[in-house]
Amino acid sequence: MPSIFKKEDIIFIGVILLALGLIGSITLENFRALSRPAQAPLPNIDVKKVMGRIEEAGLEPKEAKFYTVIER
Amino acid sequence: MCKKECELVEGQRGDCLSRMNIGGKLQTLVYGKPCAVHIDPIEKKPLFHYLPGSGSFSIATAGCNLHCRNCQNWEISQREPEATRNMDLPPQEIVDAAIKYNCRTIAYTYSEPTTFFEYMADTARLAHKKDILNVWVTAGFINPEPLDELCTFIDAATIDLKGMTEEFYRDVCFAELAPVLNTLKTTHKRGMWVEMSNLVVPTLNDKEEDIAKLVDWVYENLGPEVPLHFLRFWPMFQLRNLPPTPVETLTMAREIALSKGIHYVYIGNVPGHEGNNTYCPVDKKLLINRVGYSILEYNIEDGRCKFCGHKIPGRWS
Repeated sequence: MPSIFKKEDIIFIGVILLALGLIGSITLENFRALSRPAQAPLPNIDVKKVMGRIEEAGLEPKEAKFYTVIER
Repeated sequence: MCKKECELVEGQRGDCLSRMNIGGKLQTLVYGKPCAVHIDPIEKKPLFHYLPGSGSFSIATAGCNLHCRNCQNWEISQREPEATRNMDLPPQEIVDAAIKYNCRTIAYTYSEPTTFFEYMADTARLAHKKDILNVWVTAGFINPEPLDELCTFIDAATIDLKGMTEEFYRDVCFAELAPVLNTLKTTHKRGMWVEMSNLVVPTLNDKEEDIAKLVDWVYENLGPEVPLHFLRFWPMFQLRNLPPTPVETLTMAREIALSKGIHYVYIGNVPGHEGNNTYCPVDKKLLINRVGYSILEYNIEDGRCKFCGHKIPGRWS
């Protein structure tokens, strides 16, 4: 039985479906990216230099309190 | 410690500039290293209902977890501890000095004591052993867990409620309102003596509706007996473009608070204003006449109005 679609129509529909799929996945990825909290780049710290300044200033670091956040 | 809950990589310090990740552990850089040490009248905190006329041994270290554009102590609060001139003063020496100079209280003040919590806690616990009381002068931006511990060693507090909107806290102070309101409610509920201050900044939080909102919140959540101090703004730090608060604005704020039922409403940084004085809410007689931080007349006996016997809240001896 002859098909009601010509070969060109099938190729056209295929391309459209592919394009829609591509756009959909890009949109979804963008949405996910926007939903994630922004991540600042890690600072580039010269720890040796910082510690040198602290020592030079006569500061004596001491372990600080660190609280575990209970359910609020 | 505070709602900012900074996550730090090795060598990085928190938003307060005084706490740092060293070797994978959170460390304080300012323990035993105050950059400001003074003996102040307790009225300067301001505390008007707490041991009036007494001296308060006052200390601060560098750093703050807020960055108010109007900060009057920005030279210490907005600096790293390496950039200030610091003393070597361990907790026991503070207590000894407070005794030597006849101070009834030690005040943790000027910058934000929450950022030197460990130093404050150790000093305060030693002070209690010598019958010296502890005063916390704060913006109240602290998490509930450390606040819970703090309530065990602090006796009185001046808590600065800087405005009544999240926008004000975000744009002017780089902080949040909700934790401050929680601090006010918790300290009051736990029985700490609390006085409140509000710096009235022209164009930013000086509208009648701003003041009314603040007063309504105080009345509903803390009651009419918590003293409320409206303080005059003076051009400072990043807000030098604004004028000082007009005295009429402060008078308006005081009148709103009194008309809404708050009993003790004061005006600060305007010496000689009648809003410096304490009046009995029942017979309206003058109880404490103040000029600046000095007391000229005192009509409270055994914590009561000398004229009508009405009990005045606070700690008077």
